Amino acid sequence: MYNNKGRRTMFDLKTKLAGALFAAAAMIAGPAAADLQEILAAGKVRIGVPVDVPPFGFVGKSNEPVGLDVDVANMIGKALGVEVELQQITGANRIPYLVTDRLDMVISAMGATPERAQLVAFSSPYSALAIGVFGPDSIAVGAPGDLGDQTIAVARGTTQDLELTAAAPDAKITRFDDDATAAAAFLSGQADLLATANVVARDLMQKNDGVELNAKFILRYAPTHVGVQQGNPEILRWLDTFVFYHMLTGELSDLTEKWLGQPLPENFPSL
Amino acid sequence: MIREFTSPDVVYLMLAARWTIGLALVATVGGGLLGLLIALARILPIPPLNWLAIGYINLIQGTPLLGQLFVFFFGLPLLGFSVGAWTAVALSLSLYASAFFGEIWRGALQSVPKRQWEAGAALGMTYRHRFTHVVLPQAVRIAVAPTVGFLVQLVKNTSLTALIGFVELTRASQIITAATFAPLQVYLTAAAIYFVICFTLSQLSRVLERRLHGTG
Repeated sequence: MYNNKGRRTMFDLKTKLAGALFAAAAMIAGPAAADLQEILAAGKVRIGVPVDVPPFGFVGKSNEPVGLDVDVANMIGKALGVEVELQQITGANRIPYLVTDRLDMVISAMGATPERAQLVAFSSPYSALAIGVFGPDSIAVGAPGDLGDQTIAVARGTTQDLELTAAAPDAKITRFDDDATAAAAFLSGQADLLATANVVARDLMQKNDGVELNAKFILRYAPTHVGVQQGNPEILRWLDTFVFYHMLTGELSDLTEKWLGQPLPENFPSL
Repeated sequence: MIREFTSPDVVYLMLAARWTIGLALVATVGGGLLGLLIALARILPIPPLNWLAIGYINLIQGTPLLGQLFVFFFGLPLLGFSVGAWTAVALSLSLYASAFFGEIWRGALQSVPKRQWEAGAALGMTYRHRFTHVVLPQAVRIAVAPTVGFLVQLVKNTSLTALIGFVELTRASQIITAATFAPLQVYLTAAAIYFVICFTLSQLSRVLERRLHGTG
């Protein structure tokens, strides 16, 4: 069902296209970004959220977007006193949406990396997730170096994919479109291990009787950031203030506890 | 957090299929009109026009639809043109379909034996009359099957528009899958909906072919 080679090519193609576009963006002065005063004057902020990354953004019972990122988006709208225009985005198009001024902010469980920061600016982190490799107790793996013949299912292009590929370049990694298909591959026995977020592994265990998804090793504790267009220090500064303030009130920690099951740690880093 | 795949989700998928059908319709109408011009530009005895049409067809057929969508949606705004998702989709799907329709119809027109043109000329008909009354009716009959064949491809290719924000059938399936972690049920449902759309199309094609042969 999953022709890995074909899918890789498709992915490479998307990456190359995106790369070419960004190169073009660097040469041509991009469209002027809406600054903070314009957002306030317009009474509307355009925020991109995922709908395929539970528990950050997914669809609820009546198929409306819900999740941690959606809650943060609404909190931002409330704090700015403006209406929130939610736009569903995917992992592949979230940065192009920002670069071409179709969105003011992207809240999409996005980890800050130096590469991404060349194109978009990141706020201080509003939450965090632990990503790792999970599987049954019968598989004796305690570190990336222990990986041998086991097939590991992972959602392509995610932070866990990048980290696992870097930590265990020789491991048998099979990449899928999203967490759900990767999980299906694990549950159906097509993969021996699953690389995902701790909260997803925990939910899968609760939902499927007899499935063992215990942490083999944690790859990284990954803070998540709001992405904004570059060249807009006022919006970035406002977001940092927003995060700082709601860290102090404990609201962001409560949100993380609501969706991810654990509050944020005491010494949570900032950017 | 993970919920069950239930009947409201099936309804959601069916509603998303409206986008699939709507997008395919836009591409068919836009691509059909443009494709007609391309086919004409390909066969009219005017060499520069022929070269232009050949270049256009090669350019469109030689680049992926995904890339065309990207260029129209994300590329044009970089050049200062503001393009909505609908405009970008209508433009790129129509251009894409027109290159294929143009070639299909060009082939159909040229597959009408040269003798038919000559016979028309022998009867003293003008080029225009020979084209509309002798060649075109025969070419239409030949073109039905490959045209519908391409339409079926087009229906499935509309899934690429998910990348610029359209929640059509495939994208809706991904979204439901992410919420339910039940890809097998979700994608089987989506496959069944695609099948109904495409099967209906090919049945229509069969009916059309039979009717055209009957009156031919």
